[in-house]
Amino acid sequence: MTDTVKEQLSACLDSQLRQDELDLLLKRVAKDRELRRTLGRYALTGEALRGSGAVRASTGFADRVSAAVAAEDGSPQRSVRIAPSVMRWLRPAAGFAVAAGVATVAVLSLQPSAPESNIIAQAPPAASASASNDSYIVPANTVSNFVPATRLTNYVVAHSEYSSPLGLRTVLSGVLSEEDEAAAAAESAEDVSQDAFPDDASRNAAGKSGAQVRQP
Amino acid sequence: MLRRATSSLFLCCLLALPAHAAEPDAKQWLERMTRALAEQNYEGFFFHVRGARSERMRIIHRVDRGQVSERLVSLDGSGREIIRNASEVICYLPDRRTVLVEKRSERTDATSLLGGLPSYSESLETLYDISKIGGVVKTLGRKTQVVWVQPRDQYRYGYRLWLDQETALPLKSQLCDRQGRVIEQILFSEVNLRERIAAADLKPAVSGEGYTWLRQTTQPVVVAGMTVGWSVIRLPAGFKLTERRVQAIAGSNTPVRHLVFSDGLATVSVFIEPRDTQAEPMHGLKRVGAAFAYSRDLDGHQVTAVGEVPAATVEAIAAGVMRDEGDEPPADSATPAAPAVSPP
Repeated sequence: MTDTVKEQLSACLDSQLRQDELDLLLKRVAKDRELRRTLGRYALTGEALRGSGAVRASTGFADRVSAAVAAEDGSPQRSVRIAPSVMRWLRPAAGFAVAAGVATVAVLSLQPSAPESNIIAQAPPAASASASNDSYIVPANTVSNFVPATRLTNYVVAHSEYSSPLGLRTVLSGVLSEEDEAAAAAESAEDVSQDAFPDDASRNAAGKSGAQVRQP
Repeated sequence: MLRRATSSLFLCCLLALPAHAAEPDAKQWLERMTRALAEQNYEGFFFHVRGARSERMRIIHRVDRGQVSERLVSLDGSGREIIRNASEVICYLPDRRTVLVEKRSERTDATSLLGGLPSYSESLETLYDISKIGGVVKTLGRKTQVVWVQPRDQYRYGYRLWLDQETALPLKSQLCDRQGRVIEQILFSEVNLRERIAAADLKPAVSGEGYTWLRQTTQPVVVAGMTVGWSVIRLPAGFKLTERRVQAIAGSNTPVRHLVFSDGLATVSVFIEPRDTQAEPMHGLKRVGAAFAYSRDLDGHQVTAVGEVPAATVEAIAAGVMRDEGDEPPADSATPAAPAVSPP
């Protein structure tokens, strides 16, 4: 395969080829198995490069080629591509507000009794004594005036090991859930029974310091 | 499952689909999906949507000799990753220079993103109605079959699954209540099936060197006399006790009894611990994320049922918690890590 063809392949996946060039290339691809494989690899590389960036814009041709490569008998990878329209309606919801954080839930469970300190170093002696150096056991006295809502979230984390209605409930629920969700949980946002917690201030303070724990 | 496609390049673009000898029924669709999730290597991008929030992640799902391992990469710029395999879950949090390691319980099989979706069994069918909704519909640009796993009573949630006609992968999965309202969902924006995925692709982008490594032991705390003594009567239909253990839970000075109940699909945990006199007691129903929790005070103990189930279920289960007759007094060990304490 010539470098020109490789360049064309690369260009076509980036939607930089003219229509007549595309058509020509498509014809070649249709005939040449090796070319199809290469195209598949290119597509994946491109995907990987673009992966962490913005939602990929629809490039009609690249999609068609990918689909063709995918459908090609014996090709190493198959592709299921979903219409970009989905992205559009998801986008406003996704936005940048999805700054996933270590949920307060998770941080609270690691937070030592003294604020703004190193997590490991400050682990309660009882826990660290029985643990190897790189282990930790959930510190018992994390927040001295911890409140029921916090304990509730800890229950949810403990429960999540067993439950995964939609997968993410496992560790994700404890670790990668969004900060605001954790805050909401800590505040028991939907207090169905209308229980009132008088010590809102202390709970919020605990939640905030938890969310802001940083390693030096 | 995947038929040979002999169509020409251009015909392929017109969605040449495998020919099915007979239309598979809902049960067969579920079985196809379970098989696909257990056997297919794939990578792709998905949105996890709950309420108004949505998070986009990349997934790499690898099956090697029947063992599923997965890598999830957050696409929010934090660089966070989760690597899961049969024995542990490792969370890399580069933005916090922290790595969390959690051991998996051997009894959980949810080692993958979609591992918690319903798989067909006769007992599932006694509690849930499994049906196809309509014919082939175009969803997310692909031809899909909608399968509805609908609870037969008010004690559990249902699932609506949009299964790709060709691969049976669930391109869209919704957890919904009896009224059909969506509680949370996972939507794939892209899926690439792969013949194989290299082990190296499951490696995180960061080594974690120099990070703080936190290992959470889920080893049950063995405290004599604490694994028996409590039970739940009048469980909602289909729920059975699947696990009983005593464990340390953050924020509590004493080990907590943890009973797990499952109907084969939905799971409810019951936590029982002696009332902490300094803590405010919890009462009644609360919502935490997609879960409901119901707490009550019983015999000097705080009892809480938690689960991603309807409120009626946690309430019923919490209400059924009983202290067994002739139970030994609870062992109040000083710390969760303390060695076994034998009550007199």
